[in-house]
Amino acid sequence: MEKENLKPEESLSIITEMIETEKIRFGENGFIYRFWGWMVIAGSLLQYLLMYIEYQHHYYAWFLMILGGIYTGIHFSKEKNRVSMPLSGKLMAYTWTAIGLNAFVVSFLLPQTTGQFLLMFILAFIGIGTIFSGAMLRFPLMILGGVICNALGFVSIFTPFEYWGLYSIIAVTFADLIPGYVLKAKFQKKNV
Amino acid sequence: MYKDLDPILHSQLRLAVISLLVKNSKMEFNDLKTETKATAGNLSAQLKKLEQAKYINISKSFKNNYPLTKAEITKTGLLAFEEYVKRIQEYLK
Repeated sequence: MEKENLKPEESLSIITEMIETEKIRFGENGFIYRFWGWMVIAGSLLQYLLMYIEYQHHYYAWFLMILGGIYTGIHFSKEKNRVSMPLSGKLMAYTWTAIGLNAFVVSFLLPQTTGQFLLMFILAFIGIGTIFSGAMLRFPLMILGGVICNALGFVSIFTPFEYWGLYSIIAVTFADLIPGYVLKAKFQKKNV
Repeated sequence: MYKDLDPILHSQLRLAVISLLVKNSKMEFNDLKTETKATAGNLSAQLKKLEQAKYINISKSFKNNYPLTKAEITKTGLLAFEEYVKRIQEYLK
């Protein structure tokens, strides 16, 4: 790459290529999306199990998410030491950290007041974050997953609590697991 | 031909570097090398030219006992890039 006598079209193509080149770098193999998808499914199933054995504090199952948050923090701090994170990655990291903290606070506050809106808020947070990530990665499938997740949150207001686990599983399947596995397949194809 | 285009930016590798830095503000040498697919020697030489033109600042430090070079775009570099893009657009009209 040393050409000095560029045509305007070539210049424009270099600029575009360099700006596009990093588009799926942050979480490009989709690991973090798959990880959180399976974490939420594990939380939902554990809660169903605790409800089945009639354990009063079945919502303790969601404390798993705190472990997930700690693991994610460690995972990305290691990643950050390996390479400098591009701006798109930083924006997503800040957004998801804010989403995680808000979801955490809401999980404690809402059950004391208006508990029927809890899943709506959580899925709205995740949905908005997923739409944002999908837009940053220019990945329409992830944007669609975010929309489905967001919409399921609204449906949850009108359905009994017993279905919430199922809604959470469907939401993360579209928002995290499917995009996560598609990103993995793309990543593997790119690195063959 | 394209004589009113900034000669510092009108080079394949320097333009690629500046484009990456416009987006990310600051990047490590190895990341720039990966993204541009340039050789270390060529990249070093082009970074030096950009630094001489005051389009970027280069900082050197150590990480885990290994030397770490980072390049950061300056205000001058950013303005030069904007001007360059404007000129290119005029040519393409």
